[in-house]
Amino acid sequence: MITEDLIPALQGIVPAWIVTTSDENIPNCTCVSQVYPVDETHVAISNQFFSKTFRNLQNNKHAVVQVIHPADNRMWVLEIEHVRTETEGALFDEMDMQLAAIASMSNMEDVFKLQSAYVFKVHSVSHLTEAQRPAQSL
Amino acid sequence: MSELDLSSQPEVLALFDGPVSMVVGSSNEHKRPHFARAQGIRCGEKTNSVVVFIPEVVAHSILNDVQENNNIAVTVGDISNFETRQFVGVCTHVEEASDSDLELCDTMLARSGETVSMFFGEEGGESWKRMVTRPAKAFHIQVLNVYDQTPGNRAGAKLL
Repeated sequence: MITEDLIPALQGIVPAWIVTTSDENIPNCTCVSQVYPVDETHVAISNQFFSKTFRNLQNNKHAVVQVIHPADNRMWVLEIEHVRTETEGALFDEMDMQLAAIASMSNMEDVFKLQSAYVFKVHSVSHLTEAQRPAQSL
Repeated sequence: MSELDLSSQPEVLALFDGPVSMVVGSSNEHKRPHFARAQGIRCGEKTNSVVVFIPEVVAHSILNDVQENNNIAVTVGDISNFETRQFVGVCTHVEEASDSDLELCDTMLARSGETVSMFFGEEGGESWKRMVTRPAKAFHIQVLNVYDQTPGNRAGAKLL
C-alpha cells in the first residue's frame, strides 16, 4: 500500500494536512510536519502541538491525511485509522531525528518538539491524478 | 450570542491576499472525515461568511458530506511564513463558481505558485501551477469560530 513512489512525499519536505472529526462531528483540519512510513501498511504522524487532533482521535480513530511529492507536487490522500501512540522507542527516536532536520530546514527549531508518534493503519491510498494537469498542457 | 464579525480581525482576512495553501475538511454522517484542496477563498455577503472554491474533480466527497452533515472546516496557510487560520462553521449552500470567482482561483494559484518556486525551484512552482482550478464549486460557509493554526504553541487557540 505504501509504495516506493509515495516515499518522497513522506519525508516531511512539504507539510501534510490531516482531517479528523470530533464527537460532535465537527471536522478539524490542520498541518502536519511529518508523516513517517512505518511499514507497508502503517504510517506515523508526529504530534508536536495539535491538541484538537489528539482529542478527536480519542473518540474517533478515523482520519485522512494528504501528502505531496516535493519534486512535482503529486498528491495522495491516505485514509488512516489510529492504532497506537508511542512516546519512546526506535520509531519515536527515528521520527525525532527527522523532525529535527525538518525544523532546521524551516527555521522552526524552537517550536518543533516531538511529543508523541501516532501510529495509523493505512486503509487506502488515492493518488489524485485528476487534481493536476499534465506537464505538457501548461 | 452575537454574530461573529470577520472584519474585526483584519489580519485574518489579509491572509486571503497572500500566497496561500487552502484545504477543506468535512465528515459524513458516520463521522468519516474527508479532505479536499481548495483553490480560492473570499469573504461572503455577510460579515460572518466566507466562500471557498473547490475544483469539481476533487469536490465529490465534500459535496456528499455537507448534505449529510453541514459542519465544515477550512484552513488557510500562508506558504511564505506558515501563518495559518482555521475557519470552522456550517456550509449553508453550494453553487457553481462564477467566472469572476474562477479568475480569483487562477490568480491565487499563480500567486502561491510563485512562492512555491522560491522554496522548491522553478519546476516545483510550475507543477504547483498545474493544479486544476476549474470548473469549481462555491461552498458558502457561515463561520462560527476562527482558530490560529500556525505551527507552534499557539496552534488551536481560538481567535473568534
